[in-house]
Amino acid sequence: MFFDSLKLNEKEHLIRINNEIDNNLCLALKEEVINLVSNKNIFIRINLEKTDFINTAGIGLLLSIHFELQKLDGKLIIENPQTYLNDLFEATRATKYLLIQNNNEE
Amino acid sequence: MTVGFEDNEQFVRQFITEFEEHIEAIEIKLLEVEENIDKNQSLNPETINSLFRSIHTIKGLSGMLDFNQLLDFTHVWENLLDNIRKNKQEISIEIIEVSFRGLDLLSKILAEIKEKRSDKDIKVTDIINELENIFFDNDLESKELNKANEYFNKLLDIFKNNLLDAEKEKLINEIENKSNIYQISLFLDKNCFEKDISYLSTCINLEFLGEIINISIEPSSIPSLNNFDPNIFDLQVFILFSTSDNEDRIYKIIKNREIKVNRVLFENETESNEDNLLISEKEVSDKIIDNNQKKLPTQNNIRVEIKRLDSLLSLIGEQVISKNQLDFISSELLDALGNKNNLSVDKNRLHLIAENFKEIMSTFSRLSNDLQQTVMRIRMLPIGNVFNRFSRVVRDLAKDTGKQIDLIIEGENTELDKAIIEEISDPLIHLIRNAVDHGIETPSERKSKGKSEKGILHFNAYQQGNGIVITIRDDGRGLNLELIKAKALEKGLITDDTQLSENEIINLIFEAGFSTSNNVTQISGRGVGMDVVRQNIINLKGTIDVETKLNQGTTFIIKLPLTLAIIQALLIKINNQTFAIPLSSVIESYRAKPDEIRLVNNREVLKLRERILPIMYFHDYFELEKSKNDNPYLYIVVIGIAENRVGFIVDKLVGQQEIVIKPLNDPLVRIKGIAGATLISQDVVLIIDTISILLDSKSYKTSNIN
Repeated sequence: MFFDSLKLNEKEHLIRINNEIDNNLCLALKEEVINLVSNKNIFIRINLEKTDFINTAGIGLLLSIHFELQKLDGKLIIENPQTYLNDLFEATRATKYLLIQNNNEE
Repeated sequence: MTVGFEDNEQFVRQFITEFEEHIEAIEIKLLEVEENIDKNQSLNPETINSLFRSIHTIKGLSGMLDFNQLLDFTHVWENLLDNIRKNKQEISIEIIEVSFRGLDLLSKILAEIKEKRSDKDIKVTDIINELENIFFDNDLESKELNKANEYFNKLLDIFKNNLLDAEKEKLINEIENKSNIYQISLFLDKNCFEKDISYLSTCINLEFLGEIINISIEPSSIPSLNNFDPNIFDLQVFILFSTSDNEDRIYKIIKNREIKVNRVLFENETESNEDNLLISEKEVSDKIIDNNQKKLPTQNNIRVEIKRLDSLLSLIGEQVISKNQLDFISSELLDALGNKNNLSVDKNRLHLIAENFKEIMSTFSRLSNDLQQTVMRIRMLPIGNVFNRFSRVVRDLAKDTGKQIDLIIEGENTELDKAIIEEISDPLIHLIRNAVDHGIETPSERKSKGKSEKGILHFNAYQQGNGIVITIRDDGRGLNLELIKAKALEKGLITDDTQLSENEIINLIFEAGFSTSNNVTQISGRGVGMDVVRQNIINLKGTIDVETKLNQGTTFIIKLPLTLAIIQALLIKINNQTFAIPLSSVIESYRAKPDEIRLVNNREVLKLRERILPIMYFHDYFELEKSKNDNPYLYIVVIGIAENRVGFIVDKLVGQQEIVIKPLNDPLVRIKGIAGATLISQDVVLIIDTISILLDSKSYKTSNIN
């Protein structure tokens, strides 16, 4: 499976990515989020702990999900990205929009 | 680029003349303003306006002639003055002090330009910094903001809306540091995050090349979730980048087929590429500097009032009329005389012609005199030109010595010949230095003497007969005659038993190396000065006298001819040859019997009233043979400087006459004891240099005669 999708609580839903984010995963992730949004799950966490690569489409998708949830007064949180992904987020200034949390530091 | 003097010499000369005048005007105004501040008086707005106009004019002219250091400096100064005249900033002592330093720099730049160099070697950064530091701009913040907004408006919207404050500041800094600013638009394809051709490496390489100010993603470029297709999506990134390099380097670094780089132009920038880079400053200056560059010839011109020129033209017009009348008379005369073989002549007609001729000659003579006077007056300048320069000298000297001095100037409109004005300046400055350094006491010393703490230095000039009198008076310590005598004794100028009048003691100060000051200051005290002062005044055919009273002050009285070109002379004859003695040197003429001449210590002397006068023959000085003279009397012309007198025996006194001096500059015709020549009735008459003869004469000191 590309990712695990589970309800955290009444409000939040977690998607744990298990692979690198390429175009195939992007397509699957997109469908999952559209599904969740249609069920009024608009507070989504995407955990990238196990992801060591993301392509430009992946960043684009994350941004697209962010803007979509924002439009619905929801929120996207990116959890525990690895260093390289963090650098990419920073280098593209995706960090301006994406809310990134590193729970491992706690 | 420095101006090419060969091409622009005329303009540069004009510039120098105007620049000089403006410097003088600025000095006067600055002193005025300083006085207003000192006395807590309200400032005349016109004074500041005048200062502004002068600086503004200098700035404009320097710009036209590419004197860029001067341009940069006066631009900043102009801004400050503009601020003050618009009441955005108050004038202060600090501003005045900086302005005086600015004025000194203007003089330095003027000297540099006069030497036919550019002003590029003059350092102006210090003064510019000083002026900028005291420049106060209320609207600075909003001005900066406006400027920043102007920059931001040139950017793409993506940057306009996304720059953080720190990024805005960085952008402004980069612009002002003259970096090239590029907006890079980049489509990152799906593979560009592959680690071997990493986008991150690209960013790092860009950082080596310049400065990444901002990276932005345009939200509107992100498709909605429903429309998102990862197979066709490319992430577009915008980079705002600054570098001193050109865009070719950027393309080399960002190996991406979908890149757009555009340079943003700010404030008068134009596109340029490496090939058009300015050649180095050294190359420019090498082109301009010519090792054989000649010094710019000294500007020797004079400003003349239009009305004086009008007078001159009017006189010339009248002279033309007289000339025509003379022509007519000449024709009448020839007609009256008729054929040369005709022996009968109408005497009445001849008589009438002669009468008319006499009348016309009288008119002609008057016109010639008037013409001469008018031309002389064209050369005349008010001595105020010199006095005004002294205000600054006195101010600076007072500050250096910690003294307070009230400077009073009178008679600044008194005129004298330009040549004399130029030469008298240095001697007068020396006298001022002495007055400030030795004459006027410190405020505490003055107070202890019951004087006001502020000393007085008084300049005056007035016409007296054919000459001008300049006085420099101070109310200081006065000359200490005992001290002078002691010093003269020490230097061996006099002996213990030398009898000296008060005036003779005072005149000892004009001896070379004489100084009663124990302290050699930067200002005076080396004893190299008063003798030079006197010599300079003598060279101008003038005299210098001193009046002094202990603890009350000293007055130097300088007498100068109005002009060096035309003088009143006493005509004398020596061996049937006519000579002219400048009347300014003549004390009196005396007719003596031969037996009145006595021999004392092998010197011929004459007792003239209560005075012993050394006597010599002009013949002896010029090594002329004494011709046989049946005259029972000896004619003696007494010439003198100050207290020094000599009687010269001549063959005959002819009379007084106004003469025009023609200098004898050719070394082949220079004769010792001869100042020049003149033309009297077609004869060349030599003018005797009485002052040199007097100084040369071994017997000139009356005090040496027992």
